[in-house]
Amino acid sequence: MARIIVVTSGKGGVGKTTTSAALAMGLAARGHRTVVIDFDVGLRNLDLVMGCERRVVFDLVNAIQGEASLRQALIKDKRNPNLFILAASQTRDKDALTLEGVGKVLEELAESFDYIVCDSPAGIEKGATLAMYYADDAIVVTNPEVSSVRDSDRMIGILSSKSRRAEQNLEPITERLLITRYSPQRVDKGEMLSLEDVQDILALDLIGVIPESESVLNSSNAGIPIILDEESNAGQAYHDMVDRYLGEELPHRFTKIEKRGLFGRLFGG
Amino acid sequence: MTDPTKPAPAAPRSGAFDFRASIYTLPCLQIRRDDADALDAFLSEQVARLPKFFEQAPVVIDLSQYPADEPLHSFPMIVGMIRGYGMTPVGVRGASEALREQARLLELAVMPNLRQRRRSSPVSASVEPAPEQKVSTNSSPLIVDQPVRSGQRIYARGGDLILLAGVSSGAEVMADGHIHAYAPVRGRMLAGVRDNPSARIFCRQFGPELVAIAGRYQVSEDLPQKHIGRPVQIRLRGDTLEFASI
Repeated sequence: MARIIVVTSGKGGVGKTTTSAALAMGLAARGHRTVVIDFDVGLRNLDLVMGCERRVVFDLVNAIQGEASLRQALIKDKRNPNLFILAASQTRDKDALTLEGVGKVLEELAESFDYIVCDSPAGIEKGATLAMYYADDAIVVTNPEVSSVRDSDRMIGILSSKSRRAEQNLEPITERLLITRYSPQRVDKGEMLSLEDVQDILALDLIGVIPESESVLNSSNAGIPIILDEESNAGQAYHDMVDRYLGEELPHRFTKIEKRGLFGRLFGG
Repeated sequence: MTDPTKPAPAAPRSGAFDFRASIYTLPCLQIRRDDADALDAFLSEQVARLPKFFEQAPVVIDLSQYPADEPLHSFPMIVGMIRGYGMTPVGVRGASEALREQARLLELAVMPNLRQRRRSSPVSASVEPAPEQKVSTNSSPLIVDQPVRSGQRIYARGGDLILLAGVSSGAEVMADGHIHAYAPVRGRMLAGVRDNPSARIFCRQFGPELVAIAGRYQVSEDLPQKHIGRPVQIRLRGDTLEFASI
């Protein structure tokens, strides 16, 4: 039976798709059969970030409406045989998504995958609520700034009340917080909320802190999930996140300003 | 006082005249006891505070809090007294059948009854401050130990609310009785919501968006700065919220 993970936020543009791609690729790289699904019908992005935009034939809506089998709709990732992508429809609208339809697709996928990553669209409307309804785990992506924090808080409330687990009185979704685009320099200057501030307001376990990094844009342009860029801080932080998801306890890196000692400053170390 | 004119349902136009619906907010004088002397003193004080407001103001005599089938012997005197202070009594509401008949003889309208729950209206004063009502503790308090997230609402019906986890900005917590908050509150707190002015709010780390007791409210901007982030008790004195450190 697969574990269903939703990557959600409420606020748009905080890094859900980047995170979904990184998480899925990270799980696959560690040997788990993983599928990542784009729930943003009409505004699909996951296929771009994964680099498979030129191979999309059938999508999630086709699969739900029986116009294609899941086998036909799933796109195999060229870099890792464990990883598959299910793109969103670009030409339909989100009314084509139904609770039962999504449920059936996930049930079928659960038979042959270990992890199903659901990339949620922004907002709290149908696409977002369907992406999270069947989830077992949730990663709430938040930028360390006030609007994002408030929207995440709203989303956390919805996760604990409108999911299948909540409605059927099962063990609740395991919610974890991921802070993205973190800049210790700006926190130091008082321009940005610190991770302690965000945790204080949201009261959630922290699964990772991803530093602000230019390499994220480069990767996304190239269609390569950031986690494959082992040199970048963001890529490394995502590796830590995946390890923590799988149960390892690791300290949070890239959260403090790198202080250079006297020698470092004298000799440019 | 607001006065938006609403378009009337289609009625035959008669040229020179028309009936149209309008909405007005009117001050309602609540009478709880048959005591003309006390009313005299009360009105004298109120009018002295806000003379311009009461000059020729239409006033509704609210008898909904008056004991149900008791006669109100000083009713005609009360009506005359209100006029004497410069106001114009226009109607009664919540009156028993006997009192409605008296109202008719005194040429006062019978206003429709409204729902119990009242929004903030600083002018709906009573004859005298209501005797300290016991907060209804029929139900045991509602204890909430999970954070109340933005967009969520909690209502402790018939009793107190005890919060053991934070209330986020954008969340709303309400109680018929008191609210006891042992964790930071950043959202809205409304105590005594079914018109219970003796309800209080006890908050360990104060910083809400809005506080209200029995409909009288204050927003974050207007809260006394010295209490923000600290333990505080809020109660209602007359129509004003009073804040004290605890």
